[in-house]
Amino acid sequence: MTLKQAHRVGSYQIKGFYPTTSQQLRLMELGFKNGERLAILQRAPWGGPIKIMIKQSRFAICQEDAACIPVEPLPV
Amino acid sequence: MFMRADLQPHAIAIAGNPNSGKSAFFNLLTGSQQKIANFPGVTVEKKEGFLQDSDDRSIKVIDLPGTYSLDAASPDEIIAQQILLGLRDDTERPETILVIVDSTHLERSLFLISQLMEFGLKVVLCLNMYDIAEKKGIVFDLSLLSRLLHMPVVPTVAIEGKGKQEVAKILANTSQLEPSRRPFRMSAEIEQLRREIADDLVQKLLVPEREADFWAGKIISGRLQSLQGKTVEMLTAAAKKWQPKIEQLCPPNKIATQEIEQRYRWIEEICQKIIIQGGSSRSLSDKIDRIVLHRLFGPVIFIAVMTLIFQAVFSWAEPLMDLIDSSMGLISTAVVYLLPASVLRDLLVEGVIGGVGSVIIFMPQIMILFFFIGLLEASGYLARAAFLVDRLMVRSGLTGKSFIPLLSSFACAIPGIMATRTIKNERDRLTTIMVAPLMTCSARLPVYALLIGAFVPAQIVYGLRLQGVVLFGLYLLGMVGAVVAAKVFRQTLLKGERSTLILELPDYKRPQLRHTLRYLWTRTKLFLFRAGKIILAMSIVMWFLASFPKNQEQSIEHSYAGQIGHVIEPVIAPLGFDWKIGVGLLASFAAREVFVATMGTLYNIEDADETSISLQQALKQDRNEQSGQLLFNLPMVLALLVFFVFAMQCMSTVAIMRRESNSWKWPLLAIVYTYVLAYGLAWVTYQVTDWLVV
Ligand SMILES: Nc1nc2c(ncn2[C@@H]2O[C@H](COP(=O)(O)OP(=O)(O)O)[C@@H](O)[C@H]2O)c(=O)[nH]1
Repeated sequence: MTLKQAHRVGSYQIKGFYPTTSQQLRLMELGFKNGERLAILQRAPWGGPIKIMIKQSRFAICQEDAACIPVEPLPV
Repeated sequence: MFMRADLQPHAIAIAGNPNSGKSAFFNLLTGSQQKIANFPGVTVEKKEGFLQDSDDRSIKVIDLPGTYSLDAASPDEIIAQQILLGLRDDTERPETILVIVDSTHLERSLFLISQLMEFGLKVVLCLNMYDIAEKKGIVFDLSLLSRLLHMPVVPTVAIEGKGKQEVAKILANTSQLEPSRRPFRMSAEIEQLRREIADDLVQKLLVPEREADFWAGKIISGRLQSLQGKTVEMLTAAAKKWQPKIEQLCPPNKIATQEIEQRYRWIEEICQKIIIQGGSSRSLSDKIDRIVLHRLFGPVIFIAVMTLIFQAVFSWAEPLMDLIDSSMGLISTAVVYLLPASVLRDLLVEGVIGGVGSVIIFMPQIMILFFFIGLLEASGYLARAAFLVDRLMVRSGLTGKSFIPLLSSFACAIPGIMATRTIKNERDRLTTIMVAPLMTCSARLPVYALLIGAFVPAQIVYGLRLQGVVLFGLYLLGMVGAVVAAKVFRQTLLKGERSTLILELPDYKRPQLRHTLRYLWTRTKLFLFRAGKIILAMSIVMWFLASFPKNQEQSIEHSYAGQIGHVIEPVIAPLGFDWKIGVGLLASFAAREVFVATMGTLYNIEDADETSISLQQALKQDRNEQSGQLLFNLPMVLALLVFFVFAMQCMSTVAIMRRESNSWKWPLLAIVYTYVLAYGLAWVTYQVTDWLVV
């Protein structure tokens, strides 16, 4: 599934993210790379952005970007 | 020839991620000795200051815009890269870089550091916010970090001044520092090719040997395009020849991806060695966010905060505005008393003091808004606000970052337009600037009050005050106009990929009052000095039009302004306006609320303001000179109100648009499009209501 489809708040791992656009490369520079763990902390109302924690930083990432990051849920 | 900016051994640049405390550290180092200007051609702030070392030598310190990576592409990040890489003629190339790092986010910051090391710069590392890291229980092996990176590492707390002495001492002796080197390797094939390209660059293009490896790396990873300038064009041309070889090794983008992974591998290794204790990842900010970003409470809190700010803007500003108003009156009286009657005196009293006064009167509102925007930014709430409203803004093709600027424009477009600096995407930023003047600012209120007070009956309809309903309708009309205009701009002139929101949510911090006041002061100064000249010039022109040629009756009708009013009468007649309204519209180009005073002059009513009963009476009784019918009938009043909703009648906004977009193109376009909208919609309003009423 993608980060956009990940509805449950909790921990995930990025798997199979191969950037093709510069926006995706940028995400990667911020730490969104294969094998990286991230936590979904909150979702904004009405399909708004997602608050996630990655490498101790908190980012708001919008649904469009979230849709291009494949993740797998980690066992709780 | 490979051209570069001069190397300045005595210039130091401060670099770092956003929110790492860069400004705080810059202020700490340079004190009050700072110069803030714009980089030519773009609206990125250029901050320079001087650090006095113990031998009383001045070391120049340049504060670079915050950036996560040297490959990023927003305008301010491009500036940071260009300075660091010596690609700007207007700025010296610093040899030493002071990197400010948020200690609680060391890992992420090492990404930028790895790029600076790759370019062979001398780097000094400040582990800032060390107090917060200690509180969180994070423990570093600082001396090991310094040895692994081959650079001095200083723990600092910018807001308390901790670490300043040590950093200053290191910066005074930069000759002792050694240039860094690329800390990571790629695969053997890529390294081989990289060496080949580097050798070629040195021989053919005379690229300095020290830098050749860096540029070869850029060519291989295909990431030259985000940079600009002659040097880059030359490198791009040289890169063509290597393209087949590079593609043989790897498909495009793949090398860039591998490189990022390689950097992170190095970073993780370093962090494993030097972070002795990681500290807790729980943060108070997350707890606060659980309420502040909550689906239900979030929007409620947001609305409450905004309401509070607006209450403050209007209620705190009022006594100050009265004060300014009466002091302007006093100054005029004094000038009248001191100078003999002359054209010069009229110029001073009516042109300069009157004209500039009509703008200065809004300074309290503008400054209070700046103050609150500064507070929102420093506390970390601004990012949360963008998070909450992003979805709402998407409909107009913008992101959540445009919300606060547009909201501020309800008080005044000036702080709103200046607040667009936080919008990184240039198209989004320009779109926001272009539609900000459609938000109902407080300068429109006197005009609305006069017209609504005189012509909308004080009735209660379905439990609602009719006058209030009309006023609300005008606000709504402006908002809808702005959303539609934004959408149109985003799909035509400012067309481009919809920018997506990826934004850091920094930890909440207690704002430093000194920091906020400094922010307030620099914004105010920018407005007064930059926009001031244009406002002064326009005020004098307006005064001239209204007072010349001199005639016996001293009536405005025979002045140039009056003549212009008559000339444009046929054009505005379809809206139900006559020449007097024409004069009013002309005068209110300077500032909207001048309309009220101009009407007062035209109808010979002393000291008219929007509550003046005699002015309202005069308007109600005036008749059209040709048809003999009442001039201010319902269709005409509505058309006039609609005209004021859309027309950008504000020279301060024009001036600030010119400054913030760095060209006359955008303000001129804004004038044209808002006036076309104003005229068109006023016409529709007049025709439709005229047809309905009859
Ligand atoms: N506790 C603490 N707060 C800091 C420190 N340095 C900066 N700050 C605060 O962090 C926030 C961001 O700082 P600023 O200088 O604006 O960051 P910039 O975006 O990098 O320029 C401000 O609210 C500062 O007051 C520090 O060393 N310790």
